[in-house]
Amino acid sequence: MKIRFLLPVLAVVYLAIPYLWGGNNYVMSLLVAAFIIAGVALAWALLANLGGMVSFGHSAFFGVGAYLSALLCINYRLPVLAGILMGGIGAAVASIAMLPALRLRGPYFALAVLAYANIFKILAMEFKGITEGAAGVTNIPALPTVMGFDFSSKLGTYLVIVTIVLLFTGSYHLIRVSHYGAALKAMHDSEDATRVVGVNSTLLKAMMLFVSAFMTGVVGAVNAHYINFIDPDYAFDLGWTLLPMVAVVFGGYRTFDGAASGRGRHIHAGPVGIQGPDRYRAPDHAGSGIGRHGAVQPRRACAANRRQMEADSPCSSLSPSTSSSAGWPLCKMFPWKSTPRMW
Amino acid sequence: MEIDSEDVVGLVGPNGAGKTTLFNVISGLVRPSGGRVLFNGIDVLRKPLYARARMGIGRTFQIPQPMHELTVRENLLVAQRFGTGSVNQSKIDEILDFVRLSDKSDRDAATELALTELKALEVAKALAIQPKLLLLDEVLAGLETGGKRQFIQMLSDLHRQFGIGILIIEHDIETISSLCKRVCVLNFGELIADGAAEAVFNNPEVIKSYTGESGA
Repeated sequence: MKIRFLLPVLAVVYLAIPYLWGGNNYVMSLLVAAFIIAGVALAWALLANLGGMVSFGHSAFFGVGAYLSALLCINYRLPVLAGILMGGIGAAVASIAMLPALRLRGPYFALAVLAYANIFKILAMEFKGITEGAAGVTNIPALPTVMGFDFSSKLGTYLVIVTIVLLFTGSYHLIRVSHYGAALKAMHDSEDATRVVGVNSTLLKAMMLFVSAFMTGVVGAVNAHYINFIDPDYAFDLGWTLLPMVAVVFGGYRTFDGAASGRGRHIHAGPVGIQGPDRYRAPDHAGSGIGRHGAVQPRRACAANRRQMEADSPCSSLSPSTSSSAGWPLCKMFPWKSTPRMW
Repeated sequence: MEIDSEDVVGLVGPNGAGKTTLFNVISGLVRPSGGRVLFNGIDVLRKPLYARARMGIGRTFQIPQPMHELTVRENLLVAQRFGTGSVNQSKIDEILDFVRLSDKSDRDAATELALTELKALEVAKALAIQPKLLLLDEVLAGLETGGKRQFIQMLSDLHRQFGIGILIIEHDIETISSLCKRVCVLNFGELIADGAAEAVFNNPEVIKSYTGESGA
C-alpha cells in the first residue's frame, strides 16, 4: 500500500472522523456497525477473492469468536483484549472442522460450509452448560478503559474496530501481493496449472481458511463485547455471512478495495432502509438481534446493561415503549431503528 | 518404459492411445489402478502432484493453461517460487529470453497472448521449476507453419541448453523424427514399439495401429 494513500486514510479515520463526529453517538454507531461488517467482509473476500472459495459459513467463525471471547472473559476473568484475540484463535481452530470441505469446489464447497455453520449454531444451542443455550450469554464485559480512555464508548469502540479493520486490510494486502497471493489468484481458473508447478493448493486454501476464520472471529468477539449479549440465533445468524458478501460484491468481488468500498455503501444503505428481509437485518444492525429476541429472552439479558447504556446513549430520551428491554440494543448500534431522527 | 536423464523421446500413438493419460499418471493428475512410476529410483505414485513437481517432473498441457490474473513474468515467478523454493530473477529473464517472451513479460498471460506465445509460456513455466524430466504434450498442435518451425528450433535448443530428459507427445512424424532419436508408440494403453525413430515408423504393427492396415 502506497504511503501517499495510507497517510490520508489514517488522517481521516483517526483524526478527522473523531474530531468531526466523535461526540455524535449516532454517527459513531453507524461507523462501528459498518466497520464490523467491513471486518467480516475483508475476511470473506480473503477467502473468496484470493482463495476462490465462496463461503456461506463465516457466521460460524463470527459466532465462535463471539462466544469464546465472551465465555473466557466471564468465566476465567480473561482481559477483554486477550479474550478478543482468543476468540480469533478459537475461530481459526474451529475452521479445522471445515478442512474436509476444501476438497470440494464451487457450489459444493459453499453448501458444505453452510452445513458446518448450522452445526456450530446447533452446538451453541445444545451445550447449555457452557453456552447457556438459547438464553444466550449476558453481561459480557465491555471493552476496557485504558489510561483514562473508555474504549467501551462509541468513539472508543470505533477506534478499536477501525484499527482492527486497518490491520486486516494491511494483512490482506500483504498476502495479496506475496507469492502466495499470486498462486491463490492463479488457482481460481487454473488450479491444475498451479499444482503442476509445485503449488500445494490444499495447504494454501487451508491457510487462507485459518486466516479468514481468525479475522472473522476477532470481529465477532469485538461485537460481543460491544453489545454485551449474544445468543446462538444472533451470533451464528446467516446474515453475518450474507451482508459481508453483499458488501464485497457491491464493492467489486475481485478487487482489493471491494470490501472497503462496499462497506461504505452499507453506511448509506442502512438508514434509508435498503436492507434484506427482516430476519437478515440482525447482523447489519448488530443490536437488533437482541431486539428481535428480546421478547423471549430473560429480561435480565437486557435489563442488566440497559441502565449503563441509557446513561450515555442517545436513547436515554426514548419513550418507555421504545426503551424497553427489547428495544435498547437497537438504539445502541443503530439509532434510526428506535430513536427520533437526529437530522 | 525408461527414459534417461538426457534423452529426448517421442511418444506417439493414435487418438485414445493413452499418451496424455500417461503424462497425467507421471505428473500426478491421475492415479492409476496399478503399476509403478519410478523417478530417480523413487516410486512417486504415492506422492502428491506438487511434490512430484518439486522433485523435478515438469509438464505442459495440450490446451495451454496460463495462470489467470497474472502477467507472463508472474506466471514464471509463481512456478519458480513454488517449484524450486526460491526466486531467481536472472533465471526468469534467461527463460523468458529463451522462449522469446521477454518483450511480453508484462502482458496478462490469459488474455493478451497469441497461441504460439501461450505454448511458449507453457514451456517456460515448466522450465521455471528446473525440471529433470520435461513432459511436453502436443506443444506444436494448432501452430501455423512459421510458428511451428520456430518452435521446433526452440525445442532442439532446449535439450542442448538445459540438458534435461524430454518426453514429447506429437502427431507429426516428420517433427518427431527431426527432434527425437528414440520413439515410443502407445496403442490403447499398450507400448507396441520402442526404438530408433526410423525403425519404429517402419514397424508394421505401428503402421497398422495408425492406418488399420498391415503394411505401408
